[in-house]
Amino acid sequence: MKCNWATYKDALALGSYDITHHLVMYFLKPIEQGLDVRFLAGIHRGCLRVQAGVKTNIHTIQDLKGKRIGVPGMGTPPFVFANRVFGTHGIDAGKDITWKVLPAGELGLAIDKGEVDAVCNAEPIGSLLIAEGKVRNIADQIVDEPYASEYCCEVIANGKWVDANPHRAAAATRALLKGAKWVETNPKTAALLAVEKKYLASTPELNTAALARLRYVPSVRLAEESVHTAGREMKVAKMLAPETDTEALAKRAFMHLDGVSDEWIKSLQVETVAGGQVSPDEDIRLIAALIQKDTEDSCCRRQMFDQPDQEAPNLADPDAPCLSKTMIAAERTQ
Amino acid sequence: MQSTSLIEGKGSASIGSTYCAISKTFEYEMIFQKFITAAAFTVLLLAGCRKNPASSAPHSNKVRVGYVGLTCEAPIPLTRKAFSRRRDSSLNW
Repeated sequence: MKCNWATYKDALALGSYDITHHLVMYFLKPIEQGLDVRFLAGIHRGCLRVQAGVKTNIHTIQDLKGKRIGVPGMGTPPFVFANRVFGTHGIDAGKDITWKVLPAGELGLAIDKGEVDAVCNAEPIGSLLIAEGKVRNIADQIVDEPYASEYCCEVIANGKWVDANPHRAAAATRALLKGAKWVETNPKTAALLAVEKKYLASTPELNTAALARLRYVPSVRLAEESVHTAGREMKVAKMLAPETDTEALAKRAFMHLDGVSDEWIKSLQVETVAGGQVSPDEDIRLIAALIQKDTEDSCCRRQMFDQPDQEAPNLADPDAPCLSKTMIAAERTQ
Repeated sequence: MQSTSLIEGKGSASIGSTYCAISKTFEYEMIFQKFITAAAFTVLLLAGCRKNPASSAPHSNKVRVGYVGLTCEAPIPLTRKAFSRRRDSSLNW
């Protein structure tokens, strides 16, 4: 069921659809405020990053204090991730950082122009900026602890629906977990299938490069721990209320279902499709090919950056109008 | 209708009681208007997804899987394909 990004959280809570998998950090604050949805299992790790321009002298998280950071939107997953990183490193993201909201596809341009010193983003933007030689990683969710050991996306379902249909919810969760394991085994085939079936507005090259970097190793125990960790750090970063009991919040947010366990996941076998894998060298070549294919005036460059971090209308909605760079510039000057 | 009958029925009542009756009538109208507004807002919010009305009941046999169209949602089309192969229509995208 194709949904609009702008109403995604509310649509799940209101029962417009039953289940999906999505970003933990994106849902925790609404759950704190009463949204009745439940996390059920972990799908994948590692899509968010904080990166500094290569021409800056920023090499550590502490170096970002007092700097300007480009972000695709306040409250978006990259913004929440950056706030968590700053919160645990004693940096007040509200006072010590100057945030600049930019379209995700223009974060690199803002680095080039010196409008920002650093950016925070989600895949595939991070990989593209690295491949273009514009940035260096400062915080990387797939590498740095505790983020490397936690899920950014988990299976999440409508609370009332799970309570009324526990067996159906468990079956759907297992189906998604099996899909995740299949993606890990055959990332190239999975990326091509998603583009071919028009699930997203991307290219086979970009989607393959982006998927190859993510780790689809599903789990239940680690998924539950991830909700606890994210809650604790979001509270430190002042993104959850100071009076919130994050352990109680995580307990309320995560639900165990019969037949959905790490033992079941371990026993799960998926087929290996010939030619469906991506070697590290091939990953780099794919990104390089993509950069060469893209041109500066390509308005659809933004459309390819199929991100979970943009405000609607955005690339998450292929039907949304494609804005040209001149239109975006005009909007900024108004 | 209610407003008229209240005022006419209390033709000989004091101005105070008539005022109370009119106020109460306005309250009913306000509550009704709020109800209509809330209902309209809910309908608009629910329209955020391309909804399949056949599968909207909480105890429906189908599972409605939502997606936005993101890179990381790759398991969703795969799951659908697997279910299609098995001719299992219990998952609905």
